[in-house]
Amino acid sequence: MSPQHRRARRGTRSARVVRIVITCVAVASVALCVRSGATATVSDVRQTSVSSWTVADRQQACLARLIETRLPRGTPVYIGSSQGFASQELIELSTLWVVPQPTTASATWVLSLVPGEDCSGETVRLRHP
Amino acid sequence: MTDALAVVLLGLGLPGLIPALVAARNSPAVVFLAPVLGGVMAAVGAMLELGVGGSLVGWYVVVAGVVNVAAAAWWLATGRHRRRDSVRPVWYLSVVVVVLGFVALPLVGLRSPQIGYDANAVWIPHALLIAGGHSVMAFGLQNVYGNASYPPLLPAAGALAFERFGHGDLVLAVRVTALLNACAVGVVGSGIATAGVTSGTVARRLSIVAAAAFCLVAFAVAGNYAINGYADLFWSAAALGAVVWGLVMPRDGRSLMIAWTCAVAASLTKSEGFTTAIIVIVLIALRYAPPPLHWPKRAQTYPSGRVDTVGVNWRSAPLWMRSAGYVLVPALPGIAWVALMQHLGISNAFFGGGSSESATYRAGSALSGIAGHLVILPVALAVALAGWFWLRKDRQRAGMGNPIWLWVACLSSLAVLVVTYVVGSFEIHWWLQTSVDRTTIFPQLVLYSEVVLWLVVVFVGWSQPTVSGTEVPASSEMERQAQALADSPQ
Repeated sequence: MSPQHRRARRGTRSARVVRIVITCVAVASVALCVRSGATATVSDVRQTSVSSWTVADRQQACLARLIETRLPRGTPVYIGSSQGFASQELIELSTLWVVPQPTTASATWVLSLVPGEDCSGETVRLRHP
Repeated sequence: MTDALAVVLLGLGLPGLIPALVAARNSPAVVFLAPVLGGVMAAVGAMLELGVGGSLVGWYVVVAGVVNVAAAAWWLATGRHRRRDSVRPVWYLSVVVVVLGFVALPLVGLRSPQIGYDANAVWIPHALLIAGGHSVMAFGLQNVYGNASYPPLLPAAGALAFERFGHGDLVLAVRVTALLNACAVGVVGSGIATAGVTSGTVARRLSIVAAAAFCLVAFAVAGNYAINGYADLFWSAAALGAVVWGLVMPRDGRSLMIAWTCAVAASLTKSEGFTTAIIVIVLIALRYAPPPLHWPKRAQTYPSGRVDTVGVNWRSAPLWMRSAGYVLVPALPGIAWVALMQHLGISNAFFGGGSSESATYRAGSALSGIAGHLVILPVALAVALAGWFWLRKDRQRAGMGNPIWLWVACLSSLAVLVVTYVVGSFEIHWWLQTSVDRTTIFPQLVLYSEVVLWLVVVFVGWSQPTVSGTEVPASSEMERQAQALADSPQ
């Protein structure tokens, strides 16, 4: 057998081994990743998760309704909740009904999210600036 | 869920269908590309709403009309010169059905009406502002709302949903985003399946399986962010779509158009998406229309017979202009949004002021934070090196581009990410803690796609074994096509 043939056979054997190794590594890494994703999805659709998100969703809808019933459309308001999620949430829920303002100077009302009975433990407080 | 599906299929997919068919022709990616293209048109509509005036729906109808007429005209004009691809309908249908099934599977998570923090704080408010019309949008973005400079693609899609079904149910926008995530992942999945199309029957089928597995991986990497209204999976998958179709698939008009569409979608989705899209667009331009490396000078012959080079040879200018065009055309919508933000004086909060932490400290923290999310990096590197050393011919036979393009895209985006964390103004640990799992979705997806693409190369190699580095004669028409592609420079 010539040296070229020997080299060729070695190359073919190496390529075969590499193919098997790449297949094993790729399948293992993909499987591990998919498994973690499946675990996350299963926990998302668990009844407790679904019901707690449904409660949060209903609470937001309730707060939005509260703003709509208490303030006329187009009222300039200032979001007075302390910075953070409450403030962001109030801006979101009031958009397209009232008009959030950058300062109290141009606002008729100041809105803040406070503990209360109206919407699953929270309510919207209104006060003049 | 039916409302969100109607918005994505009819509101975005239908207006995007003809342009997607013209761009992607008979690729299975058409099914997934159409809603993405619809999203791009909605984003352009939102841009015009903010910049010119009017409402989203009005501008969306105008933009969709113009794009559809232009696409139809292009289709008719190039009809005689169009190349007929011999794609088997069974393969086409298999890819669409399998990829569709595997991008739909993780969407069962939508049973839980989750709204993530950024969805509440950024994306849904922006969607509501866009739905409110020009004056509401302009006043809100300039004065009250956070992250106002974020591009408008996903909020515009959400705004279309609010316009049609009202804004009583905010989860509607979240569901639209999740469905668009699935579409963007589907474009990548179709690309991976298409990478194995030139091989034998078994390899073709296995490539479809690999594509399906990648779709699950994409959702697994993104985790809850895929279904709770965040934009990170969408821009990452769109940018990866640009990488796979523009830098991995064989060079042709169809792949280029799909890649450009994906890049435009990524650039109109998020600031990180814009920078990454620009990187990918430049790489695609270098691959498709490389500029001349030197700027040759004009030759002048003196009476003595001496020849010298003087001045500039303007004959190479068209080549440079062609390369610039390959960058400017797909980058234009993203650049237009950035320019509009500059014009309106809307800036990004991330770079508002200096940080008291030193640059080296921030860089070290950023690198260690990012590294924690790139467990796949050494695996992908090992696979790429082994594949490049032993299976290069199989890759060329499959018609795939040089893997170095994909690595340059991945490492460049990582470099931009590190620089962003270093020069940003937020406290670095808080910033990393609240963002690094999202900002690393793109590099993770790129690395996983590299592993899966080498798996496809293995399948191609199994169906056409290489003997001692010499080529096996191509036996079928498809193999001959692949051979021709492999012989062309990548």
